[in-house]
Amino acid sequence: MKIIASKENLLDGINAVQKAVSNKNTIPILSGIFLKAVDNNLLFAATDLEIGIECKVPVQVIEEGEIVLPARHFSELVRKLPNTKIIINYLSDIIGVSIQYDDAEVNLKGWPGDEFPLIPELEGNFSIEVETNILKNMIKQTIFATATDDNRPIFTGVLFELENNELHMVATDTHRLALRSGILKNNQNKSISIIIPGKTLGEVNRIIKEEDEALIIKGNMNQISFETQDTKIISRIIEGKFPNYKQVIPQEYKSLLKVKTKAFQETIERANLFSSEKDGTSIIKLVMGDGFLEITSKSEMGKVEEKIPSYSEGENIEISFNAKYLLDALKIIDTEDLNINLSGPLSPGIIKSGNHNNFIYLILPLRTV
Amino acid sequence: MERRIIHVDMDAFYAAVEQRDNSELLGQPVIIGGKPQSRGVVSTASYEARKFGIRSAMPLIEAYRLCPQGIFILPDHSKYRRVSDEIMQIFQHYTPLVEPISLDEAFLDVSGCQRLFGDSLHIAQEIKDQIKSQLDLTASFGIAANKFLAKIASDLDKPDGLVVINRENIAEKIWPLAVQKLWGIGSKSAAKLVELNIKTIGQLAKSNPDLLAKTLGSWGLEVYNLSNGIDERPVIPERDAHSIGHETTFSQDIRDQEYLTRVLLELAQDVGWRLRRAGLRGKTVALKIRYPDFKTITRSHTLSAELNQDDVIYQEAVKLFIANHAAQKSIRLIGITVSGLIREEQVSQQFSLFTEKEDKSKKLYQALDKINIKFGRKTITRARLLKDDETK
Repeated sequence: MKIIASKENLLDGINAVQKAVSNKNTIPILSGIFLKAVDNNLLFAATDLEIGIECKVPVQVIEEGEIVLPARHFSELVRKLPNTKIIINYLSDIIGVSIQYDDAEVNLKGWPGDEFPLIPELEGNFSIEVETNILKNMIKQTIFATATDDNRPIFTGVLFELENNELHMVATDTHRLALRSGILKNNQNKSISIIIPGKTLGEVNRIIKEEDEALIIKGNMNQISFETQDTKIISRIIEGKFPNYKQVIPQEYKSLLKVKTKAFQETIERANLFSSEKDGTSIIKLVMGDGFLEITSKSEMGKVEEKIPSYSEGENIEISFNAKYLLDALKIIDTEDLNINLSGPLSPGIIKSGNHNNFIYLILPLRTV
Repeated sequence: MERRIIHVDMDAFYAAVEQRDNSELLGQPVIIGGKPQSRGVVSTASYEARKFGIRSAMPLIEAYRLCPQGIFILPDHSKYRRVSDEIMQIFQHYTPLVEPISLDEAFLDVSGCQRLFGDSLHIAQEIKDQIKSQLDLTASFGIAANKFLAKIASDLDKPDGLVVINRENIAEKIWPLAVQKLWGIGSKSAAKLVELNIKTIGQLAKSNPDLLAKTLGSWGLEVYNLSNGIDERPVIPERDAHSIGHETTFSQDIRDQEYLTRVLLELAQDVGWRLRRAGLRGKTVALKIRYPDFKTITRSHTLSAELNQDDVIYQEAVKLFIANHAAQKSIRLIGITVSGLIREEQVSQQFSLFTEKEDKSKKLYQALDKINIKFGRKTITRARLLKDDETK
């Protein structure tokens, strides 16, 4: 293998696959990045056997071939290289490479490329096409609500449900639930319901660029893959049954509250400043008034009380929420206004973005004494 | 105000319980631990057995050699636990500030209880009488202004003793004792002190604290204070504890995974029970393993919500066990600790979705605990743990 590449190209490849490099040391070769030079492309690949990522970047291939290089050393070296022409040349005597730049040369040992576990070609029983920017948005608006501890693994993932050409993504940590819906452009009448690990979707959102217009999602009962022209992410899916989320979303409510997203978010951020909890959360109390919403929070450090203008319908309700759960949603709502539906101090609140119905955020209240 | 601390230490507890429940054992050298030829150690010896020179932690084989006519009995921990709960309940009647050290030992802070129950001597006498009349057992009591002195005092007149240490008699009662009686002074530190010509607590009390700090490090100053009867440590009732844990040292090293996980289940049950009884929940579950070479590892996992159910503690402990322990290795000690404790009433009242299972399990534990409080510990227990009892 012999290639000529720019630092930028190498970094693109490394950054794409890096999160899939295994950090467990049970199988040493998995701590490496697989490189394969073919057809004026350099293919980068890494896997921890849970998730696998492949990414092609354009380079000048002088001689085709493959190698696995230790990810940490290789990536740190590339990051520190000057912005110049870089030549990577396979060295058979050390099973490694020489990396030449300017007048310098570095030798780095690796593993033979053919020992790297192949990231399998997915035998999908479905294959759909999604617009990249829609999918990225859907991920952003749901992934934050996944559970962080793996006590109940299904909640560390996002439900990916395709029904009548409508895609729903749902995530919950049992204290709040985010539901984002989107219509698929091409009529793809398939029924799919699988749980995708939050980590996988995080990688999809990170790696796939908005410029990649079309994204192919393939999957079966065990695995799912996301493919664009240059990049492929393949991951296991989470076993188990996602609970019936439709059942918990109330269809009726007693009060409607409309506020400005930004003002509401800033107020809660201030109210959360005096949090005494280690995880930086506090109890935010909302009191509906005529023409305003009162927001208060108290802790040993002090208290914050603010009123922001609001429009309301129905009875005035007092309710308390965990600040973090509110903020998480407010950060990803991209409309100027938002609607909050309430039914009482002990019933779930529903937050929707102002003028469309594709995002529903259900948040459970705190009982306050 | 000077504190009044009582240290209660049950006399030859396990042996006394067995003798109480089986009149044939009265007056006999009873050795709790196991069969005389087995590899284990003596856990408790009756006073009759102690006359033969038998001590706790002595190998059973040696105990048998000293006293072949002794009656060797396998310990019945669930019975002792039951009796222990009864004793702790008596304490609770006098003060909420009860810090249990083990099944047969506890500190009580009775400062400020005089108005209610009389002075500390009176309270100690009453508890002593109550333990005798209700449970037909004896205990030794130490009363002092701090934990350290109270503990030393309870040991001065065993069995059935009651010793008060105050400013007037501290020099007479404490100072002649060997330094090993001090907390944390083992044979190594004792040897270092001997080099300084310090053998008794009195000599320690009159020594140069700077020199002690040089010899024993920061610990030196603490033992200096202790020897002078200064000890500020509070009595920490379970409700204010930072962690609750149980561990068990095996009389012989264990490799059998099935057996070890069963022990974990039992430990989880003990920890869960204590958490719920104290009205606490914890966020972090830690597993401690000590290997025969005394290498000790502690691994923990923090959950997103506080828990106190046996099965959750058990699952977390087993996960840690599988992830961190190489199956072919033998184990000397295993333990579970739950930390990050908060009181149940402080657990955030955050409502949840999809938690029907958890809600059910909470109710289940409430019902189980009620039964076990009424009819004694482990009236209802896991079938998997029964096997152990049947062999006894």
